[in-house]
Amino acid sequence: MKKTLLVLAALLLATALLLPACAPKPKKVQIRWFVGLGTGTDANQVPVEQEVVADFNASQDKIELVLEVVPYESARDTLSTQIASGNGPDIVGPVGWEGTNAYRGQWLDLAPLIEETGYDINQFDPDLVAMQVTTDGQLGLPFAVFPAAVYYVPKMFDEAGLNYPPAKYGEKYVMPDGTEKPWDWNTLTEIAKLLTLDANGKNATEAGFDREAIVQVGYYPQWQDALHMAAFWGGVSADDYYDEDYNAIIPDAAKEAWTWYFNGMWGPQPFIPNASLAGSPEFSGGNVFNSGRAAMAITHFWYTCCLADFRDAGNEFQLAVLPANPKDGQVHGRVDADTFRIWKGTQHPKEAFEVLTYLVGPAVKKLAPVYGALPARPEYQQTFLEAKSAEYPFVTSWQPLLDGLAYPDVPSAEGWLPNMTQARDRIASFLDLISNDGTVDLEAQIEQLRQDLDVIFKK
Amino acid sequence: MKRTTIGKVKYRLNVALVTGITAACLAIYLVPFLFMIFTSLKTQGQISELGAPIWPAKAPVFLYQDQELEVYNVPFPDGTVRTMAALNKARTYTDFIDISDDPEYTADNPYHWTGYYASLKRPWKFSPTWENFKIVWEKIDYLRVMGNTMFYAIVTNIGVLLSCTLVAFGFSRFRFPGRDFLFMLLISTMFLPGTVTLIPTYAFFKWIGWVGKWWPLIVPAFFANPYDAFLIRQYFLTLPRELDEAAMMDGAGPLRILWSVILPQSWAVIVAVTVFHIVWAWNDYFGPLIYLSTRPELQPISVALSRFNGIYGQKPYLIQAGSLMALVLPVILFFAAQRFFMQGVVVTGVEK
Amino acid sequence: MEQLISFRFRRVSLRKLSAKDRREMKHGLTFISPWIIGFMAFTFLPMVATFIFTFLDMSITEGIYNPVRFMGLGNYKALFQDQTVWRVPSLRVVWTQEIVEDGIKKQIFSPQVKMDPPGAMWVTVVFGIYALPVGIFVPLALALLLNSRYLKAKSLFRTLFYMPYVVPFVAAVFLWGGILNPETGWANRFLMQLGVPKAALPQWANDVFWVYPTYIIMGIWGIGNAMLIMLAGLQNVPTELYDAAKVDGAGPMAIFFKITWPMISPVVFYNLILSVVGLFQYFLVPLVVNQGTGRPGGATFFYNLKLYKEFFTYQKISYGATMAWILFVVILIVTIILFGTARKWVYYAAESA
Repeated sequence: MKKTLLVLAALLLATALLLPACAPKPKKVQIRWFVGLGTGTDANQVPVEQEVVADFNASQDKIELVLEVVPYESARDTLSTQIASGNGPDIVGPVGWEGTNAYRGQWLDLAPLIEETGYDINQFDPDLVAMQVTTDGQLGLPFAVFPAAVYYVPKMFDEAGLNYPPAKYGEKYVMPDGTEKPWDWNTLTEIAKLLTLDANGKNATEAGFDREAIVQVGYYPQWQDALHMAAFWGGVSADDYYDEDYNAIIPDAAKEAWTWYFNGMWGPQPFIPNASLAGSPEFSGGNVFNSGRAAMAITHFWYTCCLADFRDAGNEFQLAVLPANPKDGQVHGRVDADTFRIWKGTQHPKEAFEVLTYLVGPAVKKLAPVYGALPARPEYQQTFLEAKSAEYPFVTSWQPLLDGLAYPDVPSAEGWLPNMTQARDRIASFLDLISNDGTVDLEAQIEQLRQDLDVIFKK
Repeated sequence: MKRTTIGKVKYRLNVALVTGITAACLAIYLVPFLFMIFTSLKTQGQISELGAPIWPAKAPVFLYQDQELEVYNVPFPDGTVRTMAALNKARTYTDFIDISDDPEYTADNPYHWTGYYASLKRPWKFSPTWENFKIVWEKIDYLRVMGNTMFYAIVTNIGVLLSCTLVAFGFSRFRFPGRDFLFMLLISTMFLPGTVTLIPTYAFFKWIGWVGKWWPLIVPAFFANPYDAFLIRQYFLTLPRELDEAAMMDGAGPLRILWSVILPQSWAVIVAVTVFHIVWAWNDYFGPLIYLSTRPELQPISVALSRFNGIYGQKPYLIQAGSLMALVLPVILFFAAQRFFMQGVVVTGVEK
Repeated sequence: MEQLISFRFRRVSLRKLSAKDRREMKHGLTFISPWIIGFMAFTFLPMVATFIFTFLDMSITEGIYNPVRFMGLGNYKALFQDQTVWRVPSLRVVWTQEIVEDGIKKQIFSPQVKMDPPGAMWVTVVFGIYALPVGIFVPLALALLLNSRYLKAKSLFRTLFYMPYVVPFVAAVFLWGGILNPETGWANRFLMQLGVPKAALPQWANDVFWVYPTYIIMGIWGIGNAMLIMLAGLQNVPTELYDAAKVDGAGPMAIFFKITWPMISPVVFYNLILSVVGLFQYFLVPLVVNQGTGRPGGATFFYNLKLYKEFFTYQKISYGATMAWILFVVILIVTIILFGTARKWVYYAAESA
């Protein structure tokens, strides 16, 4: 009896193993392009990516490029499963530093391939090329840059009788009574409070403001996490959080930024929506500026991917420059530089590199507009801006975003932290807590964060 | 059964009571479903519009000199309320003009109302956004995706029914050494969270070249899964043995007993497992995602719908519309399967 | 349990099996062979593999083919000492506090009562105490209601009660999240209409007191399956029993406890086992609704959530696998106990013939 069973089992396994052998072996080299760690999974981006893939496959017959789109919330798990089983994709992208560092050590150093193939790296701005270098080598080629700026809704300013935020760096802001103020976070706070309204039309500074019935908010840090906020406020980069002995430090600028954020939600004159409000369907489930209910938001160029609802509802936005830190008067910005990377375990590095150069080369024309990606190559920038203007015809000038290029976060706020995945998870828990619960003791929570990070960094 | 008049009255009262209670429970239970329908018929603009009612509504506008003015119900000091268009909106006052053909208040002589315009009521019009369904249909290639889902559900269902009935029969009707240990082993395969076994399983399928094809999802279905086998086994154990023994006396072999004695009594559980399984396959997400990530043309609807959940902003109205569209077939199936749950149709222990 | 023990005695006399018994054994094994083959091919190896992982030090980035080092029982030791998993919440008094004054660290006397956040296993068990009864008795009550002969339009009602089960998770979470949103959701807006003052509105998933009821409410849409199974069980109760009982003049309570309950106890038992397994594997809801942070106050820090985080977020394969196997043992023990008690209250018509 047992023998029969074993024989059956063996037969079955053998058939199973032989099944794939019956399939014809592909003659082309298959390169898998994994999309999902960053942008690129939207239903309107996927067809463009498929076009790019089809174009590439039609243009040559040695390589078959296969597109793999995985929704963002499952992308990490999927990629982890693939990498752990030795079946990682060949190309991953677009991916920013956060995603890159989550898989530190998994990326191929492109320097040898650049030399081997004689690829002309001088066609790129050398600063941008340098941005893609880490201790592991040249991990990518410049694809696009995503500077940041203030997005604002002019109509709300008109209603409140306020002047628009400055469109040029260095300009001052004029208050309704004529006084000039520097354009910094304090000024932004002031006008944000005037732009936060409850159902009766009272703004946050007026007596009788009903904080339970907020219908419009003055400001939202769109898609920013705690580290981004600290970077925009005081130029804090990732390596400011630890010293050589891996002790955890919470820089003062970070503390100020988070205190400002906390008070903005829970203070006596709130102007930032708390997490419940921001996550409600009325506020577009976290995509607050898109709902048309926020007067200002600070985020990057890639955000233009996701304002279709805003535009279709008849709203208009304009751009202004980033505010400066009130203490040192400096503007601290952030520039994202998502690009494509090659997985270290790829079976075909040469072919993968060829695809990579295609993606950061000819494919930029098609990909940049849907990603909201300002191309790294100057010759493509004009077409990109034209495409954006066609998408959002009411924007009078994209210059504030372009000017934001002068204020990158170097080193990046998304840079490497010891025990990165755990550290970022702990920081995310911190932000989630203070965004949801106004009764916590912020000082104590920050101290708790520092202690926990200390333990995590030293593991 | 003959009923007396009092019996009839009592019966009717009971019917009213029971049906009423059930309907009330159902109403509360389905409130989110109402939310789902409403959301699927709105655009984000309709969801976020200030003061919007919960049903899909469009804020009326009045076209005046190439400008779209918002329309409000403006209260007058004498108590009447007039529908007017807002010419100039400010925080503390608004100038309104009449929208009728014979306007009393015009742009030169608007009605100056003090207050915040957002606190006024508006004459909302019912305006469902049917386009959402069209968008979902086109963007995810609905027919193909539905075909994939049905293929996945039906084929795996056949496998599950075949294998789980056999296995459940073996565990419930036969005594052999190691039976209880093996049954415990069967159940225990449910315990290990899928998170952990995913990587070795995926590595195994990669090794035999099944990644990127349907096989990893379909073939295991033909080899019994603990949930359904357990359920059917429980069910079989409720069936008394007399009929088995009678059939055995007649010289029937085990397969024949299964076919002629057990199965006819088991329609309820077979239908239950079918519905159970088809719905599970309909919503199975991570398995198809991870094995079919490179083949969007093979993906079932659960995976396809998640494409509306981008990193920088979900489109909940499209997801809800898509979910509604995905609901239709399983619900129809369930409704049709009701016949097997109607008491009286199930034959209990007859054909002795 | 008795069966487990009794076969062991029988094992001694295996050779003394009659031809009939041997035939029965052959038939039995043949019928369960599809599962055995499937188990060997698809389940056994991964299970063994994950078991081996627990003795190594693996991370996702190294992959399963490059384990870093052999850890022996190191993972298990770390897990058993992991306070975030096993801690039972208790109050403790902290007498001194460390403060920094003028750059010098000092200890000052400042008593505080602190409650440590509960460990993940504790959270799971406590939630189970609330959720398991709901998960068993609500579908049962519903099935009874939907099986009642006084109900009109049965098919329609059953379909409508089952329908939410078909809604995909991603859509259902949005709906319930939207309705139970403390600021703008229908639930709180409705309560405000009823006159509940704003300060007294439940904060649903943000509130330590309300978060479990919130999860249970969200889970109500998932009872369709359990209800369906109970219905199938109810259908199987032979009508002759009911008729006989009525002839004897039995009231509805007696009918339920003496006839209905015993006849459906096998499917109730099935639901119980499945609910227990589901409880220990609960993680998707806290991950999505509370962002997997365990907030509020650690009340949503379920064991399987921690497992998921260790495995995928922190990329520690071996620690995650260790947690999984300990979970396996815990569930196994609970299940064996349940199977043992089953003898007392589960009635199998087939075995008492």
